[in-house]
Amino acid sequence: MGGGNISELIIPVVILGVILYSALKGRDSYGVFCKGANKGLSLAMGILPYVGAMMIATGLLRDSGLMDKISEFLSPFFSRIGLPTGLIPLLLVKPFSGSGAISTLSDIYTVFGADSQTGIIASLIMGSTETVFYTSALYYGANGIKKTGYTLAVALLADAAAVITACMVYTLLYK
Amino acid sequence: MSAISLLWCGVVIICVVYMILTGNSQEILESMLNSSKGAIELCISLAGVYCFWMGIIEVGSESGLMKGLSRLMMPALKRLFKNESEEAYEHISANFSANLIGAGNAATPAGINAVRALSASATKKGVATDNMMLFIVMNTSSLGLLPTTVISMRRLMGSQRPSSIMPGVLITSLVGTVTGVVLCKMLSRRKRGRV
Repeated sequence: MGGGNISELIIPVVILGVILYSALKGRDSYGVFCKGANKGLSLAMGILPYVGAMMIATGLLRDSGLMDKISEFLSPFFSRIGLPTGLIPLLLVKPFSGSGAISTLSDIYTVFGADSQTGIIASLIMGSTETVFYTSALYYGANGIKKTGYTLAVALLADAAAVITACMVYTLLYK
Repeated sequence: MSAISLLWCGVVIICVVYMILTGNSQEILESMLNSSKGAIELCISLAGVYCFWMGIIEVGSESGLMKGLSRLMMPALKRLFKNESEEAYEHISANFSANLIGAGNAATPAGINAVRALSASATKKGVATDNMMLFIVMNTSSLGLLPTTVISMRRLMGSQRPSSIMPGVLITSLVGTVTGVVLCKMLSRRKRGRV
């Protein structure tokens, strides 16, 4: 429990440190904060259409009952490696779309709860992996690189290692 | 047609057809409208989260704290990515330090610049070098030191201990990143051995 309290303190300490450092250096912290907050606002509005499109697609998968069928099909495999089947939508969407991952994550929190087994493992996966196909398409695409060698294979293997670790970490630290 | 577009159209078409065939056609519009309503609600809470964190990150980078973080990781970077330009190291460290504090969106421009600077040392145009692949893999496996967005979303969605995931995220992302780096180094060595 003591460890938990320390992690609850890290973020307030970081925030305090950032503002204190800026204040001690005599910067216009207030104006700079507002400038950043403005960027945050346009960021949230910028991703809205993508989150919307992704939520419509994942919502249809869920409401049509097809997601249940897919989960049923994959669940023997998932339970063998100790993954809760509630993670299936997140794992299917995450490699392709960050916005889709955010919307499936919020679905998981609503359905299972943020502190449930599925909720915690989903948080760990979300916090420790990025959107594989999107990131590599963006960084390579912007620089005209077409032959990407072993990038995707290694990135997906590293992702799989993170997912399996997330399940083990849950059992060790949070159960 | 991009891969994501293909995937999206495929999912929507299959679901709509399936719902019509299973006699649930009256639920199609309801489902889609509910989802877009949910997207607006989610983005409004995310707007609050992003406003706050982008504000803090802006304060941190303007006062020079982010530069300090970049400088700290320079020696390790130079060992990991050998024989690159000073400019490349700068972009890589800016990208990594933004990723470390969960500012993925602030990391993107630095990431694109980093790949551009890395391609300066490439012998063949349009072909990814080992260092580029290593850089992309380290980005996708993401070193999550402060998963700010996830913690904030947990707080907003009723978690009793939203920050409790931090040590777990640290371990998980460390294992993912180390796996990626080791595989990259093994593959690049094998490739060089063959040549």
